[in-house]
Amino acid sequence: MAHHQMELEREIDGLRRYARLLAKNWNDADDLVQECMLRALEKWPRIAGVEDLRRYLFSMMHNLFIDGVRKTSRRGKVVPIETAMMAPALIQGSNQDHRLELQDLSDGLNNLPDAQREVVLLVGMAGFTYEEAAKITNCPVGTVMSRLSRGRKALRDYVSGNTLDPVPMQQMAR
Amino acid sequence: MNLRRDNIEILVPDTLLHRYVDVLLSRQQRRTVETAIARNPELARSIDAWRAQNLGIQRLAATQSLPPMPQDMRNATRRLSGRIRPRAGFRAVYAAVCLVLVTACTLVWLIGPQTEVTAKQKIPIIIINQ
Repeated sequence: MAHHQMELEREIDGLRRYARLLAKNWNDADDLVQECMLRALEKWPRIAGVEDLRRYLFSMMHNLFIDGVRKTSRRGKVVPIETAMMAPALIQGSNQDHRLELQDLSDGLNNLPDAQREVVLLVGMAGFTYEEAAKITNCPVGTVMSRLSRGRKALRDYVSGNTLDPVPMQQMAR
Repeated sequence: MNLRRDNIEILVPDTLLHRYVDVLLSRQQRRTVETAIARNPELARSIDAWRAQNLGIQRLAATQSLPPMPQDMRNATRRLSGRIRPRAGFRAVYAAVCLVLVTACTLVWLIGPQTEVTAKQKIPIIIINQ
């Protein structure tokens, strides 16, 4: 069980970093992670027997994120002022060029539809296979692959300057 | 019409290219994609761009300045850890009880015959005179 505990603690930092890129600000990201952990607490006996705890946590976070997006689309989004003020401090880096590149990438990610951003992050950042990403997002592998393909293309276009029309912030449909 | 083998363009589906970037192909499939890339510079550029994207995203995640963990989250972590610990303790107690039981059974088995003889010796004999 000590193995589970260590695994969980190691995952929390990873989850927070993933949630930050998914939710676009630390407040929402930490709310997501917090909710995720509370849900894990509620469902603990079931989770204790789960083979892939990491995938389970990401899956829970996906469901919470979707719920949050639905609520936000009904109520309208409130953006904390410190989010805008702190945005440039997101990236810590030594090299100015690298920082600018990463800032472009970060902006590009923020411009992707949620569903595409999620798949790009699950595969590109968290290192899940397409089949695992499909299980996490509760959709067919084909959908994951098409979201990934379109997401990568849009991101490439954005970073290279061929910015496409801005996409709606809360677009969850393909 | 004679086509030179070198000029034949290999059509590779997009999905296979993405799987190549994410290292999710078999050796045979990888070779096919690599042959296609070698003949098509545009494919090679796409592959490079997607790889750079993946690396950039990983670097972006790693270089984020992680703020201190909020107190609520710290508490939840503690609670979760608390759920894990009793189970670990329970297993240790269970193992200890099993060990004691096995030891006791072994001891009884070893000294059991002597106890039986002693018991027999102590059985009172009643003689009934008719």
